[in-house]
Amino acid sequence: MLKKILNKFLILHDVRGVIVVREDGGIVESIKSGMEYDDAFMAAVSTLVVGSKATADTFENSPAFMVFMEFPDYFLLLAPLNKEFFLLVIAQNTANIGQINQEVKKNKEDLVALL
Amino acid sequence: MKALPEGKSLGWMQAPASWIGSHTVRFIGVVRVVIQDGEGFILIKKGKPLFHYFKQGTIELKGHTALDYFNSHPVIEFNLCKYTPDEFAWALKLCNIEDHEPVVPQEPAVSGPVARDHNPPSRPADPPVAKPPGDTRITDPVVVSPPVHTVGKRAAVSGPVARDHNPPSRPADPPVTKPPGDTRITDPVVVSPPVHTVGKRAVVPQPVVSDDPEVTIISQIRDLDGIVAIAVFNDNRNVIMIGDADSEVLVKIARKMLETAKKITPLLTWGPFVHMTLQVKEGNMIIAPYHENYLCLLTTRTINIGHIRRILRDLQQKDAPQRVS
Repeated sequence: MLKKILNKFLILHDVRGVIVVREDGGIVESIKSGMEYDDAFMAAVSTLVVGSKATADTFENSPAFMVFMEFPDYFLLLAPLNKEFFLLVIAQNTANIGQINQEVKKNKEDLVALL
Repeated sequence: MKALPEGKSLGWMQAPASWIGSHTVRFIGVVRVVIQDGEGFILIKKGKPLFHYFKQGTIELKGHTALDYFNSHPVIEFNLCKYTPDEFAWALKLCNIEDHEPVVPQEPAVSGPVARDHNPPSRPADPPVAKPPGDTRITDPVVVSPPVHTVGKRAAVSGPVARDHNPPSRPADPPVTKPPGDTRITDPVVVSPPVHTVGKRAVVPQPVVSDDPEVTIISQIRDLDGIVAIAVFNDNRNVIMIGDADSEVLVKIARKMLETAKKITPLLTWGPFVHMTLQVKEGNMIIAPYHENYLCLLTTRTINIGHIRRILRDLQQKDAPQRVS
């Protein structure tokens, strides 16, 4: 069921992968299309979550946060699902961020209900 | 408000709200607008907006109030959804609009090129805008507020502050010794942010007046709507800091982000990172490589990711000729 919802992201234009990740960096579920998740990649995902959380905690009240990290051809979009879980979307730079954000918002409740 | 017919999606775009009216002369349908956590729409018949609506939480804006809210954002994200005559008639009914002119079958809907990162035309000063209570994302035209960050409280950041306040003038930092022949690091420059007043231009002491083109470019970015502060830093020190924030706190956070970015980049095979944005409720923190240093931007939430990417791209373009010469 979780994969079914994640697939809604994967069918968006130029989205290459979707991962549900815990705040400690642990991977809960992942799907991909046209890319490989090797150990180094998964380590990068965990580092992004843990490092970004540490940075966000610098702000008062440790607020919910979203991270966007761009590379020459790809970007990573880390969006909070609740206090404990995040959704990471891996996409090519030509993907529509607004559409991805909208899809996150639309499916957030259903995703959280499954976690 | 009951949900309008879905219509046929023509795609998501980012552009100023004013773009919509001028590029939908043959379009009949709804423009679904998404701004942060709120959603709304503009019902359009051949370029003529018939109804504006926006909802955020329990707050609803309708008509001109909603339009003003859309216009208060330099760029909004929206989805053009084309209606059949039946769908349009149903939408009119839901919006309580009487329209006696018959709807003819639609032609190709949108005229002109559709660019995601469209450069908005420069706007005149905004009129006062209604906004949902608690929405701190719209910066009021003139706000005089005390600085949020004080010398005694530097451990935590409470987010961006309104940009139009008079910052306390601070002395220039003492000169820093640098290795002979090191031309990468320029001396630190602190520039006061511009001060906006109503009817009277205030004169603020300038701690350091610099003709450095780099400072000029940075100052221009600082002047953009939604930019609270901007800094150039490297691993050792702050090179330039302009804006309404505690430079040490700002750069401390930026360095933490940089540390994360530097750990991630070699693990991926995607090349150097272009930029990283951390978005919290109060605003955005952005870091990006800038020459041999790094740029750090603190913005309000009125600026979205698309806008940030455009600013950084513009900066790189502005910078390119100078690098050549």
